[in-house]
Amino acid sequence: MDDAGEAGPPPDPSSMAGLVTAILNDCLQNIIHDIVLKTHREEKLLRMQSAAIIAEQAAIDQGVIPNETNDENNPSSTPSAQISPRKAGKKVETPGAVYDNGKIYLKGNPLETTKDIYCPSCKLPRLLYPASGVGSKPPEPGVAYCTKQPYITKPGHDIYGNPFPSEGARTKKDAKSQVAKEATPGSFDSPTPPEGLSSTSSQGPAFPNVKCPVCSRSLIITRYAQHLEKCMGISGRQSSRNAMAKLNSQNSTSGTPFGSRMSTPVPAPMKKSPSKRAREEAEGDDEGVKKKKVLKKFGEKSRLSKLGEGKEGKGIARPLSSANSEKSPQKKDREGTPNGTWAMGKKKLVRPSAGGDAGPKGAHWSKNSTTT
Amino acid sequence: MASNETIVLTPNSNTASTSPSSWNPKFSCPPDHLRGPAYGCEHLQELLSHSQETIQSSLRGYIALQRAIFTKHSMVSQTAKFIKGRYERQFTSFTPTYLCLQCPTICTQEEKTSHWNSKRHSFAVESRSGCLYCHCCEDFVYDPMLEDIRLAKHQHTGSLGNKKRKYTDFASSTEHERSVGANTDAVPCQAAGLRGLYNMGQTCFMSVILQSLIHNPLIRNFFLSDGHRSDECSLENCVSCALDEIFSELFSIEKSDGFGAVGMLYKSWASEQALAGYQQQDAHEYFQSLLNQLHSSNGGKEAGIDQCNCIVHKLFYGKLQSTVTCEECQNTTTAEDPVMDLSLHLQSQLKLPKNKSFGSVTVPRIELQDCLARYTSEERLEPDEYTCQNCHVAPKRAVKQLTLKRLPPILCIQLKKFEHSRSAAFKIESKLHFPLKLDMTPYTTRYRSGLMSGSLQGSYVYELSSVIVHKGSLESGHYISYSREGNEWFMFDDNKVTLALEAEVLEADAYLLFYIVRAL
Repeated sequence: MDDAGEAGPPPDPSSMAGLVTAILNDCLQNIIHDIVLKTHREEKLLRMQSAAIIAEQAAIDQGVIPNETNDENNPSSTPSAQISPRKAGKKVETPGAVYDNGKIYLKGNPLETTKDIYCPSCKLPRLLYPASGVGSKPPEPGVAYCTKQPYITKPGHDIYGNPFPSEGARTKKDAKSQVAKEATPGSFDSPTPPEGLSSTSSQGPAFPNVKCPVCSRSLIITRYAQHLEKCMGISGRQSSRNAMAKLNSQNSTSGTPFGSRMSTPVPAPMKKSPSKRAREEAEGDDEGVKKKKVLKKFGEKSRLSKLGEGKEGKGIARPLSSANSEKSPQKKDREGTPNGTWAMGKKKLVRPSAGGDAGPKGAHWSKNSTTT
Repeated sequence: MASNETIVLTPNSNTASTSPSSWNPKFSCPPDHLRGPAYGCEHLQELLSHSQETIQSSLRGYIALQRAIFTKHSMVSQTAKFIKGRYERQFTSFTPTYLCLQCPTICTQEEKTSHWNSKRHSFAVESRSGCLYCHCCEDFVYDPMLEDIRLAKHQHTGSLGNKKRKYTDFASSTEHERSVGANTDAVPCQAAGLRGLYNMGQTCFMSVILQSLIHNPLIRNFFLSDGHRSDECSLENCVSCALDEIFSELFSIEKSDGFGAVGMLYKSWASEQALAGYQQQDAHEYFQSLLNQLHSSNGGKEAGIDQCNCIVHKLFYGKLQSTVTCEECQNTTTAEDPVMDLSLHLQSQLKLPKNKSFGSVTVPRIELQDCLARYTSEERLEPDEYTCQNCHVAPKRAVKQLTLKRLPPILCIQLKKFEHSRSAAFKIESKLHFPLKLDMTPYTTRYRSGLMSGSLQGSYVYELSSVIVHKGSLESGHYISYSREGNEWFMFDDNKVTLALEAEVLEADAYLLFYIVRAL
């Protein structure tokens, strides 16, 4: 606008150009006026309330009114017992407001007198700038702030400034168990993309463990759905499809081992030894005792294959039960084989599906198609 | 609706179930006399603590000015009238004027100080918002009592049309506040429900739907006000109880890590076999199944959806009217269909590439309003699709049109991003442009049939509440969502919650959109 003004003389106010310019200027001024007034109102109301809270707190400190919060902690003391009659009528003055007999009156303009914003429910000052990340200012040391704080914008951290949990960070107990370790990297249903084995050194907090409502076992939350499926006995039609997919995979050129997923143990921080638990978890009911060893061995190999090199182990994984082999089509899709078309010809397919971060799936199609 | 300080109250029963150690007794409701300052400023205090007569006349004057601003033609309040020299001057302005509280003078922004200097009338009302300006403070003042009057007047002129709802109907009275204060616990300061939901293994389809419900004020208020009593519920595997558990966890405990919706997953699977199992699912399908479960667990009736009073039908139930006109005899038949969401095609005729069997198609940027217009536009029926009841022959030509007969308070729009033909299926990659404020008026039956009265214009304005985005391909992918809390937008990616810019939200490749009506 300024540039235009400098470029030439302002248009004649009586001309159409002058009229248009004037109307446009007025409209812009109105828009700015409304935004500023709205913000002003919000800010001033906050500070008015803060001034009132400060005055009220001062009145509590001077014993003019009873401290509400203490009352709840010692139910024996009644509110009236705390006010001495001498103090009851006293005025309490703070820079921003006056407390007088249960009412609070402002003094001056709260935008000038009151610099801090106080929370109306916990009466603590609000932190005005984020504690870290974009636009942050370090909070005053030693000040208790209200827990409602400005949200933080910082890469790799959430709005509270917590680093994102990573699959890598585990409790020491879990890390000791070798099987558990193997399961950690590269699990593709984790919300964080697998970064390889080095992710174990990541600083993010660990995923919590949850208790299964069916079998009461404790297991890591990222594996819960998988566990629950087995625990609730949901398989049926789906598992037969998976079995078919697995059969198809036999003939495919780039078959990858399936073993890594099957050997995935559920971390067991409970009394049982982790490895024992893991085996129970992985093998279900129909697994032979011999396979335990196979699986364990195989787990080692799968680690390599996760990194993109392993192409062996195909034969080992196949004899597994259908309940365990459900992940096979996913693995194959991931390798880029066009195996995903197996359901295409007969099924209509309109709905998208998603569950994991990176897990390419094929198995869900058939289910969706029944509803279309 | 869009205030930063949404006061949500958790019922006692909910918080009682949480562990006592996490419950801080400090968060009790403050007594109402300590809510805030009694007056807007010292000068107003002086005016309003005068004799009863002064108070009454000041209030009367203030109410008259508010009425002039909000109910009369804006020419009245925008025309400045003042005496300059010996003549009364009039000047109509676009920009705000100031209406003196103590005399009939209306000043322009520039003149207001000279009026104060000559007359010492300290208060004036600003003509655009009705806010009170104090000349002594040289600032706007917000007096609790006067603000109540102003907001009441302001609400009347809102877009409520003929179904006027008074401000006092939903403004809480002192008595009301006292009873709420005595019977509820305030939400802890930090617990604003902004927590991620852990991915339990391909469960992000569930997380995004739950997040969009958690951050929907209407649903949140239902659950936080004991809409579903878990302690009285005898249903087995009740999904409402599971949702109730999530709400009480998120709004009564000050935690910032993610939450594992373990109970929800278990109960969803137990009650809906079709969606059970460790696999990726369609978020929209899960949403529909969840609504169904919530309907039946909240006293929903099986027959007669029109009479159903359950929370799901109150909030999501809309009606589509389909009108078919036979062009031979001009006979029209209408049918009404209940809908819980709208499914819009992104394109009228999609040209699928011939030599690909699956993949994605990129189409140019589309406007949501265009999709809605196409959805409700007239459509020619093929001869074999319709037989006229009147002429009893399959007419050569018939025209069908869908319009919205009834709009729900929460409008869920699904964008059909996934097209399929006999031999191929595609994800349509396109930038859909959707607005923050959506006016649904042009798509209603009323508007299309020309029955729209002027007063109803603008009463079907919706505001964007949540956006669900599908990333990846048709076969597999990941869901994230954006939700608005107050004026801030947040991105939810499983357990990760981050701040989002409005621009980011509007640029998102939306799959599901949740709009909430602006004025109930």
